[in-house]
Amino acid sequence: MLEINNLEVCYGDTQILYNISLRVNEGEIVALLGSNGSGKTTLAKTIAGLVKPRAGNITLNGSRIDKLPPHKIVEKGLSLVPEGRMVFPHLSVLENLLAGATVTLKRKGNFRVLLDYVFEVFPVLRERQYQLARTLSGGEQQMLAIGRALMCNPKILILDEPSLGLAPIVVQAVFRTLKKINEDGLTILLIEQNAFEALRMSNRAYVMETGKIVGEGTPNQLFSNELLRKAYFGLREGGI
Amino acid sequence: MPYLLHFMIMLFIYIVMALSWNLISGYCGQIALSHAAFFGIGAYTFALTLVADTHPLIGLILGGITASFFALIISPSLRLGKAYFAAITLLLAEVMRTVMINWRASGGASGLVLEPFPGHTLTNSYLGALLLMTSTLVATYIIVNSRIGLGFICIRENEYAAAAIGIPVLLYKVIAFCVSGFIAGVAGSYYASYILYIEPYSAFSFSWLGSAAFSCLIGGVGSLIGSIIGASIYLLVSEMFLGFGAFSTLIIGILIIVVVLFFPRGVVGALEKLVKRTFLSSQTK
Amino acid sequence: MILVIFLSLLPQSRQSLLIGILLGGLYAMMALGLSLILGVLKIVNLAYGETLILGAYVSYYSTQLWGLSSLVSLILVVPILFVFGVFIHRAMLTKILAAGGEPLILLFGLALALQNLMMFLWTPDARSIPSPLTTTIHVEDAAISLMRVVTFIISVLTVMLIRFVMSQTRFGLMVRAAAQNKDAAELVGINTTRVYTLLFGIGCALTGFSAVFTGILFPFNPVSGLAIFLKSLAVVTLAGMGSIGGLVISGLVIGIVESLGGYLIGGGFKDLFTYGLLLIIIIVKPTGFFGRY
Repeated sequence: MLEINNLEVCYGDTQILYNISLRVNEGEIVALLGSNGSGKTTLAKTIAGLVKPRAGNITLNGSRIDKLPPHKIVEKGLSLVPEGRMVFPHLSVLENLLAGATVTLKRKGNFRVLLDYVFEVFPVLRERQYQLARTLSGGEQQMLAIGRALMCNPKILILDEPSLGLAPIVVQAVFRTLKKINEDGLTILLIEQNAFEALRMSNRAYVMETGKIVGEGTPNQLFSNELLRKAYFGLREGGI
Repeated sequence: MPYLLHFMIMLFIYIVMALSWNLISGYCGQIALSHAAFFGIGAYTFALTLVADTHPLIGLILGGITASFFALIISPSLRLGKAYFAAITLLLAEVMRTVMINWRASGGASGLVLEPFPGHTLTNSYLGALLLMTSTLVATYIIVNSRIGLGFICIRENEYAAAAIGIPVLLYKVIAFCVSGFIAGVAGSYYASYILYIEPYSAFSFSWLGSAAFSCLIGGVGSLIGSIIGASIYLLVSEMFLGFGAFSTLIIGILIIVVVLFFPRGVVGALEKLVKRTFLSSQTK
Repeated sequence: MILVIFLSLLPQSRQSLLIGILLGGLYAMMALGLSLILGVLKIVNLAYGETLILGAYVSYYSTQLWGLSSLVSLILVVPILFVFGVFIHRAMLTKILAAGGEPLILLFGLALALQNLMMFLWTPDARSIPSPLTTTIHVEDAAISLMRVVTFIISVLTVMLIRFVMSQTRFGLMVRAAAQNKDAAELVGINTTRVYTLLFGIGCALTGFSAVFTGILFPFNPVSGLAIFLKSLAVVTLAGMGSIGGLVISGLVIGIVESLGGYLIGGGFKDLFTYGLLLIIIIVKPTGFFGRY
């Protein structure tokens, strides 16, 4: 569904991403792992259209999206939940979700159905629907950000570090919900530093380091790779 | 010959104004729009001191001091970010205009005519203007190349970073603004001492600001030589349009827009780029 | 405060007070465009006053050349200024902002150009748009022109209307979202560039709308722009960024201060009170009283 070929991305004269190639097939949950500074967020922003690549291409269901502005990419069915949530602080929860429905409404979609789905998946949002977004806790804001992205009725959802700054128990809840959404039919690309949790629920994974992809495979394959174990999972010899 | 001297005197005054504006807006990056006010304040201060029988030199300096005093008064707005600062500088300009038109003691709307003081000849005016311009040029050169000047540039590029490395941002901004005001005030005083007639519309006219801004933009903000080149271009352009009326200022306004949009580094900067590009491309061959 | 109460008790100053209140409404509407542009695009439109005066001139000449009633001229002025605003944003501001530059000098150049263009085309003589209503009504011993009352009502209604649009409509939601986080807005499918351009156009259109009423109540010339900009800025700053409803209260305060100040010191200097107030607010509480950000 999503295909990235030989992507090169620079900020001014500094190159961040080198020859990135990866793919996400329909129905999968694919994880992209890497520590700070590996370029994960740059990749997320490039896929979503906030940053333009210097070379390479990105295709979604066969059509190229790397030259499109972000709002057009959303129309094509790709939605990014950005790093740091980026909820609209002075809008209520409901307004945040409605804002997300811009594309759906444009395509005459039924946003009521989507809204009910979002409230079903994240009941706490229905509870707090009239509250201002900035009064929500970190975990609730993350759920709101995901819910807002869902309101765009995407075919593929990309999440950039959703576990950042959240308590472990909240992280587990969020990831469980993502698993459920995936089972309901949504393809997911999960970009994370938190390797354990991410690998536990994904079908495949890539590993990034300083702007390059250095590993690829199923979770089991990656767990057994010595280099990766030391670097990202902080494990010595031995089992998980 | 007398016309040439007059032209040069005006040129020197424009150069001084351009250097003054460059200091706060070019090097320090805080766009100030009150220089027309400073100019007028200097002019009126000189006129009033002359009427009170003070020595013209004192009048000149007093003009600068008064102008920088007003700069000091509105300098707290430097804390608020470039947009609000610019708006407050405009406020000063408007306040001055309103007050001067209504204030009887300064001659109101019809202005003041001054008696020529002993030694006031065209040649002396020319020499005085030359001295003024040279000393301003030297002074700004010294400032710009000093540690404070470097601080100005740091502030322009990134205020937070500048503060983080220990530069007293607000203090430097205030210094830049007040020095700039002083210079503009002296320019205005000198103009009054030369022309010997002032009235509020021409003394506080925005064309004094427009010319300074235009000169710096054309020459490239942050370049002293650029200000000189820019001021010369400005004078030539104005002469082409015969005088400094509304049409001429209109053209200046349009040119400012054009230069900002298409020549962000000024014409001088654009030429530099052109030269570099031809140089580099010939080197790779 | 005490001064205000004291003065409002004096019969002689009651007329000034009343006029100040009525004008306050107009000032709120006058500041509306500036507030929208500042709140959403985060740009202080230095050419704002000149834009308004331009609208006033368009209205004036449409009444003179084609004999239109001044209220009918609204149909002309509002769309023209809308297009003007869209053009300015598209052609100039987007370029500057994309290059990461400072729109201030550009706007100053624009203000300078507009002011002198108008001076060149239409001379510095003062003009006044003919008023469609000439009756005067009497409240106790104060005489107020009906036009001022009507203007007040229309102004407050307009501000309330815009507030409604911003908070209750889908377009208003998109605008507020784009104002709070540009990238996040793009990520949910909002075409922020188009929203910003439309908003700038609407801001200018609103300016045109208030320009007609301003031109009816006050004589104007090309140089009046700066005073109008500063007054609007005072209203916006006092209200606080992002607050539209607060504009009405802020406008009333400014109107009253100005009017009573003029009563105390004399007409020519009354603007100075507004400017002084602006200076004080900026130093004391720059975020205003009802602001959200």
